[in-house]
Amino acid sequence: MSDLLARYHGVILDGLLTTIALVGAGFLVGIALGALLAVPLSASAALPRALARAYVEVIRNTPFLIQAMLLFALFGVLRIRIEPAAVGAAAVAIYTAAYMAEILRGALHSIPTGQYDAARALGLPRHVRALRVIAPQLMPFVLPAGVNLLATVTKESAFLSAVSVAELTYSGQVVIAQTFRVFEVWAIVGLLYLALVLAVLGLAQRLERRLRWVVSTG
Amino acid sequence: MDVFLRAGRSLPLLLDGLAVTAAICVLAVALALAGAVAIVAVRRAGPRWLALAAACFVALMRGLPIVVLVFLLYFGLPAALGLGRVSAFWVGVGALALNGAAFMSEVLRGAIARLPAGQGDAARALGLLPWQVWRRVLVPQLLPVALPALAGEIGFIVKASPVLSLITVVDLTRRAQQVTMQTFDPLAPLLAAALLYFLLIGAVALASRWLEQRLLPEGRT
Repeated sequence: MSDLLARYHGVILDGLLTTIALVGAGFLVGIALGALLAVPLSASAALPRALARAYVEVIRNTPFLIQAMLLFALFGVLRIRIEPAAVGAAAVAIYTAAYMAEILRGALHSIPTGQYDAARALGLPRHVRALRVIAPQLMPFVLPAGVNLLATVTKESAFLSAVSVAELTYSGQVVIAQTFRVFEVWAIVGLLYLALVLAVLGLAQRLERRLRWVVSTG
Repeated sequence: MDVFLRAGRSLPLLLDGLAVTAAICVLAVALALAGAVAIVAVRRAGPRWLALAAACFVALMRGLPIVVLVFLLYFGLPAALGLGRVSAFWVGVGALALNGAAFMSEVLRGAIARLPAGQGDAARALGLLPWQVWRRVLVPQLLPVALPALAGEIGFIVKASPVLSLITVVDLTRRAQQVTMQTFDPLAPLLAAALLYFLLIGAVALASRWLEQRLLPEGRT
């Protein structure tokens, strides 16, 4: 295994970094899109709410691989030529947005209406109400769910190897094609994903502990 | 006209793929449920080393992408053990079941932890045997609580099932790709497959809601 790593660590590292980059970028864009989507999703206007709901349900009830394949096919039909990793990141963003919107809708729903009324009664301007009153109360709900989502998305991103994105799983296939060391390569790739996901989950636990402290003492 | 003609020829292929995907999911869900119960039992009442092994297994399954797990079991393990060709279908079903069992066991553990304290003690004090305590008192209370989350995990198994198309199993995803190659239509077969997956997962959600209604104590009177 050590000789394998000595020769091919560059390929595997490239794949790992691509996975981190495309999941990171896709997830961040997905959070932003999800926040935008959460507005009509929890609004009272029927048509925007129905459209947002339809988007969320379609994404949450179809496989990520099918979504990624469709996105690649769509880019092909429209003759848009961009790097596969960028399309992969877009697929991650589209996926994240739907789940994030649903998490945020649930969180907004859990805040007592008195909080909005009180903030308005104090005469706080709109952005102060949103950022300093509502957002901090969303955090204990959104943070654990969001981190779980990041872990899920990291694992789902392995499907992108099937649509020619040169991420970690794909680089595993590249190394196997050259070495035929099937078991060892998948074990190494698996351990790297495991480390990535456990790091994300561990970070979340620490953040959560801090947050609980802030909420209870602040 | 041409469109309908092509659709008429392609649809049976897609429906055939849907049947394979449904079979994969039914088998994987059944095995996953049995596995989840076994994991919970071992972690609650098994010997220490076995309970620890079960906990490690759950952590491993939570951190490993299903794609890598399937590649490891289908390509890696036979190569390491010197086995010949193994059945892609059964390895795929097994991988989905292992993964599903780990996640479902967490759901069951959570539901058990949320049971009102003293229910088990009270049932035992009434002289019920251990299996009666579970069958008559605890399971009827934890099932309605666990059902929505279990249905969610079943949905995840359906959504993960296209992984079998990566190891040559001709499921719905692979059929959609085949139809694309035959018809040179890059979008319609995938959209049709997406719709069929959507309906399959929707059916799971509906079945779960119906069962939940029936399992709730009010529904039984």
